[in-house]
Amino acid sequence: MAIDFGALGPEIALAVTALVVLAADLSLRGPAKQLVNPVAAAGTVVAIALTLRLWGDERSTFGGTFVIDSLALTFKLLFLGTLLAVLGISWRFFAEGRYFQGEYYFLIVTAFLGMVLMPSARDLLTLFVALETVSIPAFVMVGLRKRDLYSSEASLKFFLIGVLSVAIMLLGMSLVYGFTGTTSLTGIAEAIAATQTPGSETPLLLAAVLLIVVGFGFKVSAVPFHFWAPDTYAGAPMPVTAMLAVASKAAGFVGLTLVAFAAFAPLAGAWAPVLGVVALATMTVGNLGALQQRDVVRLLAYSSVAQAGYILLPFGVARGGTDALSLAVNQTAFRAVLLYLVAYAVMNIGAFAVVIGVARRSGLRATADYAGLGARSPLLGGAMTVFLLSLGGAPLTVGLWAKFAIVEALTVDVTAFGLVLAAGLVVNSVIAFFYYLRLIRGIWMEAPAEGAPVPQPGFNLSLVVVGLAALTVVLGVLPALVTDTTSVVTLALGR
Amino acid sequence: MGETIAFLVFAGIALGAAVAVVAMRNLVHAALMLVIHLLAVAGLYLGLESQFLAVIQVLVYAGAIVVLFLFVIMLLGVDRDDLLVAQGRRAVAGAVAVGLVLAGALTFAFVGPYTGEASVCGSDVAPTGTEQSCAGIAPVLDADDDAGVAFLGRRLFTRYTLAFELSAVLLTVATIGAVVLARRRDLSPEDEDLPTGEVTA
Repeated sequence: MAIDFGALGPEIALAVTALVVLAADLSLRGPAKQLVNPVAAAGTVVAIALTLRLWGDERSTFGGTFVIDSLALTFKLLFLGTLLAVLGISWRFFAEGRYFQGEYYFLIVTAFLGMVLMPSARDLLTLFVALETVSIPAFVMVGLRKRDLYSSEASLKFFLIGVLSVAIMLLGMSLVYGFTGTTSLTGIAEAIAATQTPGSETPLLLAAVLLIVVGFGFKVSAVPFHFWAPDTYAGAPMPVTAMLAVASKAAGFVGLTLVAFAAFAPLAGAWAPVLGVVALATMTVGNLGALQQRDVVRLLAYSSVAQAGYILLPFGVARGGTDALSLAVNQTAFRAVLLYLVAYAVMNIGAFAVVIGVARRSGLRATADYAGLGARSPLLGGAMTVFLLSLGGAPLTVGLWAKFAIVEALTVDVTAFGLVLAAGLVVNSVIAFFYYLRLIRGIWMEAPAEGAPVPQPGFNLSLVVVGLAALTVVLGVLPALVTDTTSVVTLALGR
Repeated sequence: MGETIAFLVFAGIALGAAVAVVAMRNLVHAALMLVIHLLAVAGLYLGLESQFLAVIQVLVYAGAIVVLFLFVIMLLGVDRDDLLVAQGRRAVAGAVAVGLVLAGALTFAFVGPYTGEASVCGSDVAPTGTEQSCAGIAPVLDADDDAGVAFLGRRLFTRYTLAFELSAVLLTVATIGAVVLARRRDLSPEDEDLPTGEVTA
């Protein structure tokens, strides 16, 4: 069997980068150690170039377990772009904190290697190993601030919950393998369609599917599996929090999308309502939790739980049939998830970048510390306003289109459940606006505290903040820039 | 007949040892009971004609993993039984209830579909109703050779090469992570976490 190394280009580039970073850290001394950051960034750019070279291709290798198609490439670009942004906000933070820089950059590049592999995986085994490649470096990265007990607590909680969820997911996967005799996603779908009659599926198979869904529920911090998220996000080094809240969550959604729409599509009648209810609970609990937070990182943590709820909504209306309407519903649902993940990456990394900029050299991260930020630093204040408005879904930001796509997905075929979900989205958006606007009011309308320092974000961070804020607005005015790409991404997973 | 006796013996040992793992007051004894349990499960695999899995079970689980358990127990010095007291009656009742529900659910799901004559691989009896015939192991049975070792090897180095190679990266990550988290000496920060007053800008 010939291996298509060209199709593996981005992964190989990232793997080499990770090892080069590790070796460079060994050979560099003192302040020169921070040079591993540009090395990692250069490797990421190479990976992006290799991904773009594959654009438009349809290839598969390793017996169909690794596939290059529009879906895989779009997600790869999303993850690699996220990696660049995360590297940008990490440089000063880790150089000045004197954390384990070489190890950190090795771990983060490895985690993204797993993410980049994820959308290409069309086999439960590859999918599982890729997911672990995302999680295991993250366990370590969360605990990198060893001086800080909160960081250790965050790491321990994340590790225990993560391992538990993996065990649950593996149990489900092995049961599914026992039922279908294959680990290939399309093979599973075929076997299920061949052996199960809709409406009277074997209970154990449904239980196995739900076990896998629960496993992914932990990864995307859906209620009731969200309780680790706020503590972990608050205790981790902030760039790692940004990575967890955006990239790791997106990877979980990619995995969920693949197993849900590719492998378990025939059983959608069983899992879709469950995910719909979970989505409702997730966004409500997330938003109500965020209302009470006084720490900006915790506020963003709860807000990211709520955002996971929004992204889960389209799963709630997925259909199991193979008629044209069902396929259209699933297709629109998938595109809404994709668009929301792109928008969420842009605005949420931006928000965390601002938080890192404000906290640099001062450690200020309470919501009260944001009073008068607009006067002290118009750049950070203005950018934070843009990101918060976008997270809320205000016009002229990409957040509006992302929410719009979700409502569109929920109403392709008008059903009572779809309308309930859409109503939940609207109500929750209003709740979310309350705490986003409260923070914005503090930034612009309140006087800064006596002796509040002027934030010094540094060049890299400012560049990332400005770039992401510009992207938020540009995509808000011209959403076609993304949707033109996402609309050609199809769920044609059967190969 | 011999197979049935072997099954009953090994299943009995496995169940008894599993109960003992939970019931033992001394953690080291519990870990040793776990070894017995895992060995008995290896015996069950032998009865199912998967010799390779049985050997792997002994090497990996009964060997490496239990040794790790023992290392952790000794390093942490958790050898007193006072850590193992159940927290009140309600916790015990809850645990028993959850256990019973789980056992009931598993029995409900397995007995019937997987215990009938038709669920035996290679059986001539046609499956009726909810009964499941053996799924998935047909290609393995077809490729029947040295307990599936050749089959496993071929799969591992063709279809699953990528996952196999990726697990090498995972092991590197685990090593680096263990070193980072276990290292005693930490550099002092130039840090953002210090209170404002102490920072010279």
